[in-house]
Amino acid sequence: MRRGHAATLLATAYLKTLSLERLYPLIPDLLQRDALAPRSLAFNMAALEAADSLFQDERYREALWLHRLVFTRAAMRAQAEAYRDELQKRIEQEQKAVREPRRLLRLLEWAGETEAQLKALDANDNDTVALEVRMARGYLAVRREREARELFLHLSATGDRAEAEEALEQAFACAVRLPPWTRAYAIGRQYMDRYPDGSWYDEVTLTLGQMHAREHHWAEVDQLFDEALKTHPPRADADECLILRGYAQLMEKQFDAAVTSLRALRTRFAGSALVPGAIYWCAMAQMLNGHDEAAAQDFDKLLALGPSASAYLADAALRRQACAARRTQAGTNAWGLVAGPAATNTVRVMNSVMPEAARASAPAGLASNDADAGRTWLLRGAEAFRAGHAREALDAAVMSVGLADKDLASFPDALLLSARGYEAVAEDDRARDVYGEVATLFPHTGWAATASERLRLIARPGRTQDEEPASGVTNVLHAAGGAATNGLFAPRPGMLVAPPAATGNEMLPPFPEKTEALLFAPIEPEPAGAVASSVVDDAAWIPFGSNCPPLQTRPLIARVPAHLALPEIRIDARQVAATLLPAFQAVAGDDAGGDAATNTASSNPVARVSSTVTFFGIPAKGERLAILLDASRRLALPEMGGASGCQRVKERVGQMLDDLQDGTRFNVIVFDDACTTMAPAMVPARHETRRQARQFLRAFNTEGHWGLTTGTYSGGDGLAAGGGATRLDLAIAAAMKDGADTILIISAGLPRVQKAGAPPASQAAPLDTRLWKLPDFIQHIALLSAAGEHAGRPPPVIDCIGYQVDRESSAFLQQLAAAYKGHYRLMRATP
Amino acid sequence: MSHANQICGRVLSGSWRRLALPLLLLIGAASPLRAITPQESVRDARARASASFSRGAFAAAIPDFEQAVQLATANSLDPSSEAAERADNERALCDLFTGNFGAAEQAFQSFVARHPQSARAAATAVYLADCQRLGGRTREAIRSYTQALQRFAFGPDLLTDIEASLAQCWLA
Repeated sequence: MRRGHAATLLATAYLKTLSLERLYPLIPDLLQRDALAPRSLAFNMAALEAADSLFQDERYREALWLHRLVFTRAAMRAQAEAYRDELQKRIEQEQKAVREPRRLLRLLEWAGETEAQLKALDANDNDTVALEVRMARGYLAVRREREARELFLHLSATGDRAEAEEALEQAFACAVRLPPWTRAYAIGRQYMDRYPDGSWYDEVTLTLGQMHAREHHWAEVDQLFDEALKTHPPRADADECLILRGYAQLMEKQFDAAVTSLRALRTRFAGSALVPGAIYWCAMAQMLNGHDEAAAQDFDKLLALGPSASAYLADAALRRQACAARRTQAGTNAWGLVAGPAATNTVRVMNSVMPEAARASAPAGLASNDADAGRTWLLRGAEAFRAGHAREALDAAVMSVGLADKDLASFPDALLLSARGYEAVAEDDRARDVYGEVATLFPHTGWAATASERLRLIARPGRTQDEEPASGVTNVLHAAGGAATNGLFAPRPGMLVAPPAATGNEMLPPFPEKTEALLFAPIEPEPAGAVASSVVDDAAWIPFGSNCPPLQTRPLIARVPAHLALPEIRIDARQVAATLLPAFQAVAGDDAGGDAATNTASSNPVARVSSTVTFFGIPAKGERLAILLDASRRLALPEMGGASGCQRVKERVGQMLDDLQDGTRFNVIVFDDACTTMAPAMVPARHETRRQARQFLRAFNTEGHWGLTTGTYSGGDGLAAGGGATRLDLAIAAAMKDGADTILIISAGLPRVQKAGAPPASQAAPLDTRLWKLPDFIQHIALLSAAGEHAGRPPPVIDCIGYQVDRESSAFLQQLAAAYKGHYRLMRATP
Repeated sequence: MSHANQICGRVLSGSWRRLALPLLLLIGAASPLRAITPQESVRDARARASASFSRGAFAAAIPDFEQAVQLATANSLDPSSEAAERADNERALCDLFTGNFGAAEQAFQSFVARHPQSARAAATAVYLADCQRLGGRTREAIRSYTQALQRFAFGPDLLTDIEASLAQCWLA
């Protein structure tokens, strides 16, 4: 136990200095069942602060580890309470026969410290949700999306509305990174249903549409955007929705609908960067629908756009000519391959269908800076590579690479193709250099991963002429592997949708410019000597005419967590610091047997402790305090201060209990038509009993709990009464039965206790003759003082507070207090 | 020992303690029972005190310990005997356990002064520092723990306490 205790103190110090390497070896000791760490506010707050600091410094993995060390306050409290109870038993045992004073001293210290922990925990808010958010974000940051998804889903069910919505969106974002997307679809749907006006409705629906599109669920794309655009029409990304919807309709062969969607985009978002794409796909729909003239007009419009439509120009030019050719060669569908589902490619089109046109548009050499030139060279190289013409492929790839205008859609692929070409022609050293370049220039991408895999293969002995410098390989591999360890935003294969530097909202090159294989194909290690790479040997990577969608998918998690404010965990630093101070549970007074009246295990070490407190401005002192609170429903009447006034009174009672010395015995007694007590006997003041008192008081005079008609104490001692209301007689009897030496009364009116045997009200007897007056109460108290196990003790001191009382009630309470050496004060409800 | 003496010994406390010895002597002289020796009175007082101490009634033990000291002083009994040493030690521990750290510190200091060669000296040095630490005087406690470490060779048990206490003082 002492080892765990010492380890916790040491770990707290290491956390404050962020000496993590020294901290980690202590973790087994910290997580021991009886260690101090799980219940130490100081340790846990130090861990939380250290973890938050690391998180802000983007040291996510370390932050996550430390966040995982932090216990919630609820867990801390449970641990501390269990430990305190265990300690009390041990103290009692030890105190019965003091053989090892040092051991008893330790136990008393730990008991004192545990009480201090519990008191500090009472002063701080619950932090479970905020801590779970931290862990979820931590898991997200270190790419453990499965854990993050589950945590976010949990938070979406437990947090408040805003927290739950954000958590559900984050769970969706995690699920999107975890193929298959069954869960992602379900979570996205859940978000749409729960938050149609949510902050992320647009992002979620667009992403869902993109995902469905990527999996060729065209009907779902159409249906989803139909719903989304109706639910939240004024969305900023409506143009993206429209182009995706138009494309999906096109794929469903709903050409007219596609044209309508795409024209809507062109009309409503004339300034959109997607307009060229919309024109292009509109033209394609027209063409595929046999409306060559309309298609040709649209292609013309596209061509007229010039550089702003550069991505489409070459293709549009070809198709424009095809439309013209088809119109002149009726019945001959030169573009049948294009319309069909099977993939064809530009190279085949250029070489077989329109060789002249293709060759005319092919770049002549490095002089061209047109991005299309790079792409064309790359296509040629790929075709040659597939045909086994390695050197020709290499040449074409080198041509593509050498172009000044580096296009992400072709440049890294061209580099990889060239490296594969070098491998194929047994120039492994050059291949190695190129792979290194790819891994360095495009870290955290599928390209880098492919390059790294190839590097591992060619680094084997025999694949290179010289020994591979280990450090070089290591560095490159580190750069390539960084995605797995550092980069929250580095796209993974399968989710690579933007250049690494992308911020998330810009449009990506549209459909013809990207290769689906690059984006979605998993990277598999290949055997040494394999000719075709996983990147370049898939025909689907040449999308021209294929049925892959336009790629507007954006990074789904485009937020830097470190730039997001972590949910606040409020910490009372003074309370935390106080838990580091030495604390001690003093043994007071009696033998280990304790006070016979309250001989409980937990009450033993603190037998008689006097407290001086301020009771609504009245100084009150005693060892056994009874607080008597009037709970009649008139207390909650608007003219009396209403429910809020009632609440304030309860809070003031709670504050007074906080001021009691630990160990001072007390009970809370509530009275109205009946009387009920918090505990069957006085309890020693400590955090648990104070909390018990607060809970006890909380229910009174709240909705559905007005007044008090039944109670736990029905009297029987003292002066006999015949019923009535505002039964102060019962409350005083209950207090004196408890042996109270000080009674604190808060009353909102005159007690209306009927005398025993008084004539019923129906007989219209004068009020004075039926109800108790002050002398009756004095007689009642005198009888109580003479009876029971506390007989012989002097009567208690009685302090009274009149809450919004009238003059008569005020006079009564004042006289009652004066009769028993107490004070009286009138209290008015404050607004 | 007379019953009257026992009752007097228990009820006397605070400023009344100063009057205890003459009063006791007066009662003793007037008692018709066998006269008891001062040694017996001291031994009885210590026995009562130790019994209370052993059953954890530390507050109740204090008057008896004080009575024993006063009787021993008045009768010039050997203050360095093993019995006196043990009583002094337990007397100081009573103050410590009841949370009277200032009084406990003084009592331990008196103990050290009266029993400089005591086998309890090392433990007492630690208790002294404990009193300072628990009383919130952490700087003084650090100094006292450090001095204790320099003066005495502690076993692993007490050494663990000292080092944990030092760490706590530094963190506080």
